[in-house]
Amino acid sequence: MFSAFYAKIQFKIIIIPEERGAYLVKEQLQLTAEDLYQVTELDQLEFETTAELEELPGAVGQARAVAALQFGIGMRQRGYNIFALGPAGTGKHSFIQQFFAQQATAALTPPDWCYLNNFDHPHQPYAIKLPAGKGKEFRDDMKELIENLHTALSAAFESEEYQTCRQTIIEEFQERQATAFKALQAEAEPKDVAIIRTPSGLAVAPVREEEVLSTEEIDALSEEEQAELKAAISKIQDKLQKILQQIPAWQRELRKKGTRLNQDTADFAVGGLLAELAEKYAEFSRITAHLQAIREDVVEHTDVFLSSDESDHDGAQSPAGGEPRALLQNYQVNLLIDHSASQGAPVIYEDNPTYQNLIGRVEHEARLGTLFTDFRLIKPGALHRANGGYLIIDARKLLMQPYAWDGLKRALQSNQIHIESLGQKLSLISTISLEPEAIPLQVKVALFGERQLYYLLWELDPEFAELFKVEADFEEQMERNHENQPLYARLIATLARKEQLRPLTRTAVVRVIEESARLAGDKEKLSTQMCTVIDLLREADYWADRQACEVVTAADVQQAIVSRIRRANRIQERIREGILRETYLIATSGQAVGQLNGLSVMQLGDYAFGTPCCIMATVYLGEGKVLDIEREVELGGPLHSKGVLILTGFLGRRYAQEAPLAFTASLVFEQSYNEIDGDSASSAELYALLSAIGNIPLNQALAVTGSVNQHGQVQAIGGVNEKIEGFFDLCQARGLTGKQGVLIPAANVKQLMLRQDVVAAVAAREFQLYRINTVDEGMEILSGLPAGELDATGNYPEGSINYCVQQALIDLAEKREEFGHRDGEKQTDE
Amino acid sequence: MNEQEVEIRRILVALDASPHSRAALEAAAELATRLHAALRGLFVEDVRLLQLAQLPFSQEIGQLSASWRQLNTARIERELRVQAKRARRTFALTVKQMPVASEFHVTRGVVASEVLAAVGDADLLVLGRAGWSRVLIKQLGSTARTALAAAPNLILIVPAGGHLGWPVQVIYDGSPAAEKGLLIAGSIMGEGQWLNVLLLAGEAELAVFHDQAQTMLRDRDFNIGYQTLARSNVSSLLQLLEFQSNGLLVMPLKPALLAEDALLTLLPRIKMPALLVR
Repeated sequence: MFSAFYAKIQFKIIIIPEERGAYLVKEQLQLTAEDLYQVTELDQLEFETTAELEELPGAVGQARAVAALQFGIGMRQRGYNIFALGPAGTGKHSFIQQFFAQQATAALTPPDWCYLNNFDHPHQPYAIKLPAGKGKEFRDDMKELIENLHTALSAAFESEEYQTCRQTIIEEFQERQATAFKALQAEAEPKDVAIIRTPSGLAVAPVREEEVLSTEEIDALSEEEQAELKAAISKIQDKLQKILQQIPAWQRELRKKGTRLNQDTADFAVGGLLAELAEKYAEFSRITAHLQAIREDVVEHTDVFLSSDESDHDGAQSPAGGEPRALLQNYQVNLLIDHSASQGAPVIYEDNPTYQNLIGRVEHEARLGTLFTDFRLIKPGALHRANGGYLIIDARKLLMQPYAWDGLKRALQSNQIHIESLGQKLSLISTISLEPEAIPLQVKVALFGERQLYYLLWELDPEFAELFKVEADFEEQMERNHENQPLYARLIATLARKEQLRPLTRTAVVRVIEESARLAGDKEKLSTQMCTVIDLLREADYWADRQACEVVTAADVQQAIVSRIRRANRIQERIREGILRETYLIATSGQAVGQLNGLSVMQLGDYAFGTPCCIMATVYLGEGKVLDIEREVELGGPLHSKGVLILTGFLGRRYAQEAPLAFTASLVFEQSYNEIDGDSASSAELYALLSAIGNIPLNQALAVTGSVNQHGQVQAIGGVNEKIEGFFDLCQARGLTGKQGVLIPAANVKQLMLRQDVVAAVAAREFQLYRINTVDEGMEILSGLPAGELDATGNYPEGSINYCVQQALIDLAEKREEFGHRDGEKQTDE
Repeated sequence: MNEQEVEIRRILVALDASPHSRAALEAAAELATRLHAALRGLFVEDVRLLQLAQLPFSQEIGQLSASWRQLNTARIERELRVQAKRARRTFALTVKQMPVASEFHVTRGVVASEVLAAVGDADLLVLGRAGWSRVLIKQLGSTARTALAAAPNLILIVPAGGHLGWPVQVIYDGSPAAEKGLLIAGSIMGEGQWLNVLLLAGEAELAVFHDQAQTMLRDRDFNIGYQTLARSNVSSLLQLLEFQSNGLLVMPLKPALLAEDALLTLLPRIKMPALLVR
C-alpha cells in the first residue's frame, strides 16, 4: 500500500518553465564583484617598503590581554598568577615573554641561593640566601679556602715542629715501655732469669750466660737453689704481668696525646683562614655558623689529612684513612642560583616542564656500582631560576608531564620549593636520599594555552581558580579599519625584521593584509594568529629569494599563498576529479525534483576546502517525520540532526496549521561516506524537501549553503569562502555558463574574501552569488517560481511554491485519512 | 782495590717474625735485583724455646691477654712450624715479582750461631735491626750484635720501616773498609741519583780523603756531594741522619775517629738501612 503511494508521488512531476518567476527578486539578491572582496587602499599605507617602518612594540589588537597582564603583574597577592588563553599562534608566548622582560628590567635582582652541607645531618643540606652576586663570591672564597686548608694542613702536619712533637710522644711511650722492661730485666739478670719472647707471648726463663738452662741443669741444682729460682721467676712473672697489663693504658694515653696534638695542630692551621672568612661574612649568621662547623669538622677529621706514610707502627694516633679531597668536598658551596650577571628580575621560559625540571632534583653519581649523592648534586629547577621573577610555561606541555602540574600547584600553594624526587613522593623507593631545606618562593607564573584548556582546568580542578586568578584572553581577530591597517603594516615590518627577512613592498603588505582578512574569515577583520602570518612572510621571502629580489613583492606573497594551497590540495583535486569523471554524481546544470547541491567544508591539517555534495529528499505517506539517514547510520553529528529537526518545525508551522503533516521524508547526503556535522546544509535540505513535497524542480546549476530556523530565516554559516570557491572550481572545470552560482546567507556577505578568479567571474557575470535572507527567497531563485504570500482566506496564490507544497500536503493528508478509513473498515469486517 | 773485589753475588737474609725482619727482606730483595745477586732466605727455629718448654715450671704470658699459661714442647714445635711457614710465604711473595735467583731454608738451633754458620760463601748478610726474641727494648738485637762481632765482611742492618733508597750516604775515613764501602755504594747507584760522601777526617787528612774519594768516583753518571762532618762523634752523625727513613748509610764497621761502641749507639737511632763494611 505504502509503496504505491510512494511511486505515485515520485512520478507526479510538475514541469515549470525556467524563465517563469520573480526575476526582480533575483536581481536584487545578486551580489556584485565589490561585495566579494575588500581591497586595502594603497593610500592608507604611506611607505614604499617596510624597511621605512618603525618597529611595533607590544601586540596589536590585544588590548584586553594587555590590560589583564598589567593587572596580573601589579597584583602582588597570592594566587594572582596568569593564564593566557587563546588559539595557538596568536603570539601569546612571545608577547608574554616580551611583556615580562620589560617589567623585569626595572625590578630588583633577586638573591642568590646556595646549598651547604649540614654536618650534623648530612641528608638535610641547608639553604642560604645571599644578595645577588654574593653567592658566587662566597663559593669562590670557599673554593680558595679549601685549597688553602689542604695546603695549610699538609704543611702543618709535615712541619718540623709537628714531627718533633709527635716523635716525642711516641718516644715517651717507647721509653716508658723500655724503662719498665729494662728495670725488670735488670732485676731479673742477677737472679739468672731472662724474659724471652715465645711465638705467642712472653716467658720468664732461667738462663746462664744468655742460654736457657736445660732440664738436666735444673735437676742438677739443689732443692734450695731450685726453690730460689722458682721464687725469682715467679716474682719476675708477676711484675711482667703488671707491665703488660699497663701497656693498653699507655697505648690509650699515647693515642689520646696524639689526637690532641693533631687537633691542636689542625685547629691552629685552619683557625686563621676560617676567622678571616667569618669576619668577611659576619653579617650572615648562617655562614659564620657554617664556618664554625667546618672548623670543628677539620679538627675531628685530622687523621684524614695525615698522609698514610706517616702511619705509626708504635701505636701513636694513626690515620683512619680516607681522602682529604673527599672530606674537603663537604666544605664546598653548591651555588644553586647565581644572579651575579643578572640585571633585574629573571624571566624564565621552561620548554620542557617535567616535574624535575620545575621543582629541581637531586642527582646521583655511580661509584663502584652504588649510587651516591650529597648536597653538591642538588640541581635547580625552573622555579628556582625564576624565583623573584617570572616563569612562563606552556599549559599543554605542563599537563602532559606526570605530576608536574601537582608539583607546580604545591609550590605555589606553599610558597616554597621543596625538592623531592618522584620516587619519594610516590613512596616508590625508601632508600635514604637528601631532603634539602625548602626555599621560599615568590614568583609570577604565566601559563599559556588554548581556551579549552583554561575552561577545562577551571571546571575540573578546584585549585586552579585559586592559583590562576588572572585570565588574559588573546583575540584571534582584530578590526580591519583605517587605524589598524597601518599598525598591522608595522607589525608585518617588525616580524619581517625579527625573522631577518627582506623588506616587503607596499603592495606586498596590502596582499598580506588581505590574506590576513581571509585567514580571519571576515573582510572586516584581520587575523592575529601571527604564526600563520609569519609563515606566509617567510615563504614569500623564499620566493623573493628565488627571484633574486631585494624586496618581497605582492607577486611573491601570492606565489607563497598559491604554493601553500598547491602543497596541500591533493585530496581536494582527487575529489574534484571524481566529480568530473562522474564517480560522484554532482549536477551543475538542468533541473531536478528533491535534489540540490549542498556545500561542505573539509579541514585536512591546516588546509580547508569546500566541495559540493548532492542532497536528496524523498517524501511518502507517513506521520509527519523527517528521517535523517545520516543520523540513522550514525554518520550525522548532533548539530546536523538538530538542523534536520528544525525543518519539521518549519513545515509544521507553515503548512500544518489546519491539517497534520501526513508524510515521511528522508534526507540524505548522497555518496557521503564520512561523518557529517554542522547545520550549514539545513537550508539546502529544506529546499530539497520542499521540492520533493511540492514536486517543484530545482535549478541544479546552483549550490546552496546556510542554516535555517523554524521561521524560515536563513542564518550565517562558517567557511563561506571555501564553499563558494569549491563549487566555482567545479563549474569552471566543466565550463562556466553564467547560470551557475551559489546561494549564501545574507549574514555571510561580510565574510567574503574570495579568490580573484571568482571575483573576476562574478564581475563578468559568468558566475552568480546570491545573498539569501529567507527560505522563500532561496526557493524562488532555485525554482524560478514565486514563493506566494498567504492571503486573507488562508490560501497561497495558485502556481506559487507555497501553493504547490500546501496542495501536496493536503493531498497527502486526505490520502492518509482515506487509508485510515479503509483500514478501519477492513478490521470491522474481520 | 777494584770493583771485582767488592762484587756482591750472594745475599743471605735472616728472617723471623719481627717487622725489622720484613724490612730486611724487602731491602735484601731490592739489592739483589739491583746487583743481580742470588738471594737466600733463612729461618731458624730457636732451640732455646724448645728447651724452655721442657722446663717443669715454664709458663708464658699472652701479650694481648696478660694472663699466664703453661708452656709445652708440642705447642712450641707447632708454633715454630707456623712461623717458618709464614716466613717462607713472605719470602716467596717478596721475590715472586723480582728477577732474582732465590732459595729458602729452615734450620734449628741457636739463632745467632745458625745465621753465622749459614753465611758461608754469602757476600752480604742482611738482618733486621732488632730480632724477634728481644722484648720491647730499643736496642740492637742479639743476632745483630753477634753478627757485628763475628760476621762476614758485609752486613746490612735494616730497621722496621726503613726503606732502601736514595740519597746514599757514605762515611769515608780513608780506611780500606771505607774505600770498599764507597765502591759498593757506587755500584748500586743509578743515573741521576745522589750519593753524599761524609768525610770523617781530621783537618790534615781532609783534602787527601776528598781527592781519594773523587778519584774513586770519577766518571760516574750519578750526582755526588761531599760533606765534612764538623765533629767526629755520633751526635753529629745522628743530627744528619736521624729523621731520614729512606736512603742507605754505608760505613766502615769500625770507623776511625768514632768511639768503639759508636755503632751500638748509632744503629738503634737511625731509620734508614745501614751497610757495614769490615
